[in-house]
Amino acid sequence: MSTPGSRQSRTESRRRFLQAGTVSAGAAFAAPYVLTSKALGDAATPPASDRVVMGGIGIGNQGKGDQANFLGRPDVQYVAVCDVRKQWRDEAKGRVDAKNGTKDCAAYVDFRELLARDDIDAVHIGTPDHWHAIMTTAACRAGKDVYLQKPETLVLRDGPAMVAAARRYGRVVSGGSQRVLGDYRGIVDPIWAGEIGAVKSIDISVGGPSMPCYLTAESTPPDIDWELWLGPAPWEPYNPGRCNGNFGTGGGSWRSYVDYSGGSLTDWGAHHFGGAIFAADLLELQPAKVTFHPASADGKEAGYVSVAYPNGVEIFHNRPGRLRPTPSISHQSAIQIVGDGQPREPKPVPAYRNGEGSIYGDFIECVKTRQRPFRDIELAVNTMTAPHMIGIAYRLERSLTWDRAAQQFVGDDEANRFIDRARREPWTLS
Amino acid sequence: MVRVILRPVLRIVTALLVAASLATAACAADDAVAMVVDLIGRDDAAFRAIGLERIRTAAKGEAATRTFAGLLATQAPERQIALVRALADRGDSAALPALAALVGTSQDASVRAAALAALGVLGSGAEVPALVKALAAADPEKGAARRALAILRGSDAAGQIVAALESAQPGLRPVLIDILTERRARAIVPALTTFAADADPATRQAALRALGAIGGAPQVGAMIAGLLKSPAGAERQTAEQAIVAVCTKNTGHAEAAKVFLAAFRAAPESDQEALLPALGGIGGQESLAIVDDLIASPDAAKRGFGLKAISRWPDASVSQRLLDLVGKTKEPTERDLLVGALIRIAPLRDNKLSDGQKLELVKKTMALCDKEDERARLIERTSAIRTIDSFRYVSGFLDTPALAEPACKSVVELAHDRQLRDANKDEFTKALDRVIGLTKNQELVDRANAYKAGKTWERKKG
Amino acid sequence: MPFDPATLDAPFAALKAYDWTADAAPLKTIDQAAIAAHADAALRADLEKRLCGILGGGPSRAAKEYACRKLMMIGTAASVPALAALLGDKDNSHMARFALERIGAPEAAAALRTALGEVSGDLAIGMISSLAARRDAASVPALAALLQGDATIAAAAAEALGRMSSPEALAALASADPFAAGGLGRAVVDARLACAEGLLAAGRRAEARGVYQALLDAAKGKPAAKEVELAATRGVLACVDASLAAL
Repeated sequence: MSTPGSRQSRTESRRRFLQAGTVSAGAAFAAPYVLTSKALGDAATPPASDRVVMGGIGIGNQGKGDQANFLGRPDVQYVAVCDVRKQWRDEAKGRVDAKNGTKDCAAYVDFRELLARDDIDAVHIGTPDHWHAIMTTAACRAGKDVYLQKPETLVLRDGPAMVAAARRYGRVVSGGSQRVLGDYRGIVDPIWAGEIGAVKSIDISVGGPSMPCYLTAESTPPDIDWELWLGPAPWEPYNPGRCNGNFGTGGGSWRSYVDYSGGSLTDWGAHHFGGAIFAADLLELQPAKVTFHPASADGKEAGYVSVAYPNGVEIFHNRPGRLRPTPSISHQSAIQIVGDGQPREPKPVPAYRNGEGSIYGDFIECVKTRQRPFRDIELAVNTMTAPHMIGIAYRLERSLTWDRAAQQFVGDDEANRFIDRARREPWTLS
Repeated sequence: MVRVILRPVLRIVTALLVAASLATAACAADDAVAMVVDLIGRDDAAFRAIGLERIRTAAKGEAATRTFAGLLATQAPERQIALVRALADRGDSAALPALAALVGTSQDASVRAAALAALGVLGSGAEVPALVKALAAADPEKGAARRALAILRGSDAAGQIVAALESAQPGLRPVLIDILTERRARAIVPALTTFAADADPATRQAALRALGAIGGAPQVGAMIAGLLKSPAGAERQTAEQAIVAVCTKNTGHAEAAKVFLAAFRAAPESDQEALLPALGGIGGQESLAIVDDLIASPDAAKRGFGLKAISRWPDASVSQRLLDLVGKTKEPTERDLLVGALIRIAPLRDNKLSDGQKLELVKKTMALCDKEDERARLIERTSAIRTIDSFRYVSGFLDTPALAEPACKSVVELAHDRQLRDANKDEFTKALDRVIGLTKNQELVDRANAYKAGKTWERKKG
Repeated sequence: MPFDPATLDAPFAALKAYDWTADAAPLKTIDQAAIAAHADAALRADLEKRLCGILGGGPSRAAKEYACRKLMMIGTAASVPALAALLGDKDNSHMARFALERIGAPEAAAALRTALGEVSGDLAIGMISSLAARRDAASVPALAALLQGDATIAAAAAEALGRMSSPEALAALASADPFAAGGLGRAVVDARLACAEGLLAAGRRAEARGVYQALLDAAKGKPAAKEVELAATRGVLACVDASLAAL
């Protein structure tokens, strides 16, 4: 196993290298790492030996935002970018070089080359969802910590694979929903203070699942490595609308289509389900039952789906307004929560590890201290099971029962077929 | 020195234990604990990290916790901090004596702060005195103690903090009230009603803020009394905001609003005058009837109170009344007040109008504005309506030199909405380029460039 | 309301002529039929037969892909021959697996095993991956044999054996070198760790600990083996804690 050493041992070897004033040869694919004055640190910047060395994979829309946040941190030394699109890759490298005052940022098309570098402690991943599990497990095996954009999983099977890899190799893997703690304090604080009593039901309003993609074939531009963009997803011809990274889910973006995304249900859903599940303290749980409520006979009222947790809390997705009970507390019109009204013992609300109001700071602190991050991958995976199961119920138009221990639906062979997908060779997920 | 001697001994013990049979519980427990102890003593941080992870999540039991906590005394400060954090995550209060001792004995402020933070995670009411004492220290201890008091568990914790508050020096009371507010501690509420009339202004203000955050109907009477006692200015405003929050946002706000209205009706006229701004902030049909009567009064003073009250309305349900009143009034001060109210209300997030209706109201209000500063304020506030139509509307003012700066600010604020920006990328890019060329505000230029590059702008806290 | 099979005639005619430039709207009826087939055995059989008919000969790659997606949902043993025929075809192999991997019938696994003996390179990795996803115990001997061949395929085979987490898989992995060059050694270690986790989850602590201990012993003195040592140490500790929990 040619896994690079731990962050600590890498830090030690970097320190020795800096003291010796030599240029690191790095790993097989490493770009030259040139010693600059910034690498030695200044009043505002810790020396390189104390910084977390990072690279980014998938630096388009959301990945670009993540890059900006990590790049702006004085305790991060950003050294490499990876994207299958030349323009985004070049721009991302340009931003790093401008920040570092060098031309040393390595730029890769293939993430495996970036992961092979021995000097990188952590990566952030902002690719479309169909890559998340493969890249995260590969990064864990390669001894890297991972900040992974939400939605962390594309299919239910992705979750256990990522959690197992994180635990097996002792890696810090943080989900990337910055809104969970940032946007929902208005419901989180009163609920954790026990004010509405035990949560009974939650209504979430967010878009539905992704759809099949029937875009026509266009010639592949030279700017993109199309085979790598598709990766484990079924081969389809290039169309710009298929791989556009905009935030729409109604077509013309990868977030719209089933091979690459769970649609609004998991995209914005990661935020709303994330916020509601955190507020109701369901993070350790997975739903036990999924109920499909068919459309009204006259077709005027659309069908909807709910999931019930083992503790009795039920989350409804897009339940018609007339059926909703009066909420005890709401987050805008997106989340409505009903409690039993019996005040409960307050509990302290979990916080980011380093006291900053930033999930990025939380991740970096955990990389340094080896603590579990606020959005530990296991909690993020548990959260995402709800919208994934809801999506499957919509596709099959029926109710389901989930056996968490077996990670299977009970007595429904067809539903179990949606737990995972065959990955296109040569990509595998162990 | 002790560590140097212990380590090889522990290694030998560990090796023996690893080789031993796991047939008995005692042996298994010793095995697990000894292996963790060995790892914690290693020089290699990666192995230490495994030991710390096990302390967080495994090798359960109070005896093991005491063994791990016992290691604190032999560690260097940096390793002490890591171990303290792991013990906190472990969640076993058996570590408390060792942590409390560390607070008292460590020469390193960071270690003491870490230990105080751990007391907050593991402790209960018994830890309150030590934590309150640490509030008098400098940071990082002060900050750690503050956070620890805010998260301390146990049914007796809030009561202990309230007890500490009652006997605390005046200078410490606002901090303790803020901590109890953060805890949303109901136990503080009776005391708050007293502190709301405290001789110390900072304590009064903290108490009113706290009542605004966690008060309910039963406290409305005391809050009204506090408001009536508070001098005009910032303190009066805090009292008004607190009453409005209790009557519009907090749990049971409808009941609280009823209590307020009943008290208002029963109050002498002079008190009603002082309570009118709060009445306006609460809104609702019953309040509106009172306000309508006042506005219709031939008494100019009463009319003035009524107009002040309606100008504070919390939503757009009075927008047509405001438009009508502006149309009819001949008094410039009344007009200014009413137009100001429309500027505030029209784009309010929760003003009960759709985004399209909000923008229509903005346009109607703009037609009534006859001063540049009013137009500027309205343009800036329009950025609260996160739609492409409002973006196009405010962008139109980039061409008006006197209003270009607020238009720049509004465009940039709308560009902060990533979904909106990305869905209309070309339009935003053009507008942001214009902002960069027009504005004299460097922060707006930086933000515009950041949004063009797809970056997130982190708002400065506070 | 029962689904009228006759309504499928026109959509299937459209599917036969479908390619990546055509209008996909007529396929919507087939989507609905696939859902309705859950409660209608006759419809399911009819639909399956029609979809299998798309897989041979004339229809385009896009049409075959669509048919495979639907067979992933409703396919049975009856679909296996038509799908198996595509496993050796570079363009269609993945989509055939897309369906076969998720069809529970033993015939589907048998088809994948047979194809594993016939294809090479990336297509072989695909078969291995699908057999691993099915945790197909019968493929262990074939996977074990692949550990000795081409390093890339051997790594995939090791990974698959790890996913199986069976005693037979572990026995096969025991003879593979955890420090082999390239990705193979890494895959072997990962697979052995996965097997140990499987044993631990099944309450077989002593055996799990044996796996971790063997890795620790193998790592001793090897400069590039630190991550192995770390992971195996975590494993040993987990075994000890599991002993405690069981007492």
